[in-house]
Amino acid sequence: MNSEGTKQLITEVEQTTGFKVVVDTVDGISEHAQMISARPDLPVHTIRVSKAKLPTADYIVAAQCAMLLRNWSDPTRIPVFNPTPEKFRYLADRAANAKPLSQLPAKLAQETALQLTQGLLNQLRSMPSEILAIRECRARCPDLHEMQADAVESELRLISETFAPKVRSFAPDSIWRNNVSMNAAYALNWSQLTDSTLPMLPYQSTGFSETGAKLLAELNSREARNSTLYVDAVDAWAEHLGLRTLYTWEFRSAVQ
Amino acid sequence: MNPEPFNFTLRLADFDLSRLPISADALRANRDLLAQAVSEYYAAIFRKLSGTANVVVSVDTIQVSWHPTTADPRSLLFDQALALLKRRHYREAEPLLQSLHARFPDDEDVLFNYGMLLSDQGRLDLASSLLARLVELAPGHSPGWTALGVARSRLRNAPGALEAFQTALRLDPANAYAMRNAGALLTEADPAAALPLFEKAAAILADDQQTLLGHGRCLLRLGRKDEADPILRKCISLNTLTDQAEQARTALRELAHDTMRSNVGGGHRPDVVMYCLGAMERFREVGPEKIKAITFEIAMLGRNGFDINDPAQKYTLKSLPGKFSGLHLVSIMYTGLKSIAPDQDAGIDISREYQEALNLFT
Repeated sequence: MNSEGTKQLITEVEQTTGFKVVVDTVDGISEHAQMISARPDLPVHTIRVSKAKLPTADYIVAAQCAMLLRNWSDPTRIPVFNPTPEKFRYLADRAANAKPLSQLPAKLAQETALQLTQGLLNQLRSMPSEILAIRECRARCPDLHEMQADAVESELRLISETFAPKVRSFAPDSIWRNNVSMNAAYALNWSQLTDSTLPMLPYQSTGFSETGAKLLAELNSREARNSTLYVDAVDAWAEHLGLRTLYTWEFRSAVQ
Repeated sequence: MNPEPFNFTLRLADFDLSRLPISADALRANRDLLAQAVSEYYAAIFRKLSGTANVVVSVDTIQVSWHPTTADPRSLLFDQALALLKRRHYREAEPLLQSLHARFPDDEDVLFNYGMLLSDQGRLDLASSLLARLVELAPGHSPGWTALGVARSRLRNAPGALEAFQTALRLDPANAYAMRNAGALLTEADPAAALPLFEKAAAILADDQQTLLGHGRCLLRLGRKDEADPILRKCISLNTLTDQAEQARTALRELAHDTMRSNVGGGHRPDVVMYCLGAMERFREVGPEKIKAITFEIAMLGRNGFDINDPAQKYTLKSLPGKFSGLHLVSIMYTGLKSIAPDQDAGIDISREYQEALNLFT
């Protein structure tokens, strides 16, 4: 890594959490990176950058560090997001039994619904954190602006696949709307940071600007690097989206 | 008097949709959205450069009419593109160069910079044709020949690439990029011819990862392992998260493995057998979570390669007390992986020693 901003964030993680950061590479993952935060039995934070994303690796590592710093702001109370199995299953069943999935063979419909529901909860858990990490890196790492633009705009392209007919046609409406609402908040954040209207175009033309703005406003009021505020922000998003009953929080301590 | 407008037309099919932060499939499915996005894209670029821009997107063309406040829009655009390239802001430089190329198709500076940018982006056919046009117009342009060679090399046209690099070197014998790239092409078939090219290139581009990787590989190909090792290590240390660093790590791992075996004439390593046996005994006393923790910590620690041919006990772990040599840690890691993830590649083959340890253990 050559970016000064990334090096500083790594140092800050190591000082704040007391665990070393190890950066590794990994093949064959769909995400930009995987992060395994330290536990007593695995006493290092491991950030594994996708080998396909090496050109923007410095930014990816910086963003992961920014997320770690938020989650670990109090090492005695690190939030862990736990989906509630029966509620989760109920939502997936409902999606499987509604159009368009109900037109598929039952097993395939079930599997697809589970996958989509899981994806939605993952998005709820991670997207507020990603948005705040984008802001932090924008402010703290000017040397990474170009890489950040590459990484974020690549993500924007990916998430706006939901407007492509082939994706839209098989996504249950309730899941699709929640997914696009969160995406709209992500796009609006980047639109505001870069003073560009482009990221919001598909969301404006489909009427998601207002929902995106509401979700983003919930983050704006909880921007400080504090895990309790972060938990509140996820809960606020979940309330807006009708997903609040689908998970609980646990808090673990990294201190022995 | 107002300056003349700067007009150019592009085929919509030539517009790279990946410049927009919107899915290409979503754009193709919605022509209004596509037209609006392309229009706003160009309007924003030219707004930043002063003046106003009208953009009309029709079924198959994009027409841009920029009304600059300067009398020399070509210089303004090109200087801005060059400044962006110097700051490595390639994505912002690209539309400026494309606009310039649409308006001035035979401008040598534009052909060179836009051609190289396209080549780096993997748009190789277009890059190759622009750079071929450049050297046709300016046959003495050594960097142009080099860039053409790189594009051809990426297109897997090795003879064409080599010819371009040789032309570049004939025009400018101190062109280090041409040396480095010619060396890379020659390494496999004729490493002895490649080596002086790398040596000269490395003297000029001492901190260039691509040069160091090529130089190290060339030395390995010639069997000069001791010389290759520090060069490959330097290559990694310059930036650990690049493709070149990945390739250098792989080369070093193979080198260390070969050396370990050759130290005992290609036979068994009794020390490794004992290390594996010790690990098995230790692992018998701890649960799988602890095995995972130890194995994982070693794997992470050894990310840039352990020095497995140095017997000094210079490594420590958080998950295990004591000091260890590189080979000892690799043996523990190998044994751990066999227990928790037998299909995982340990990056080293000590299977014979492991098997022997297993026979002693059971």
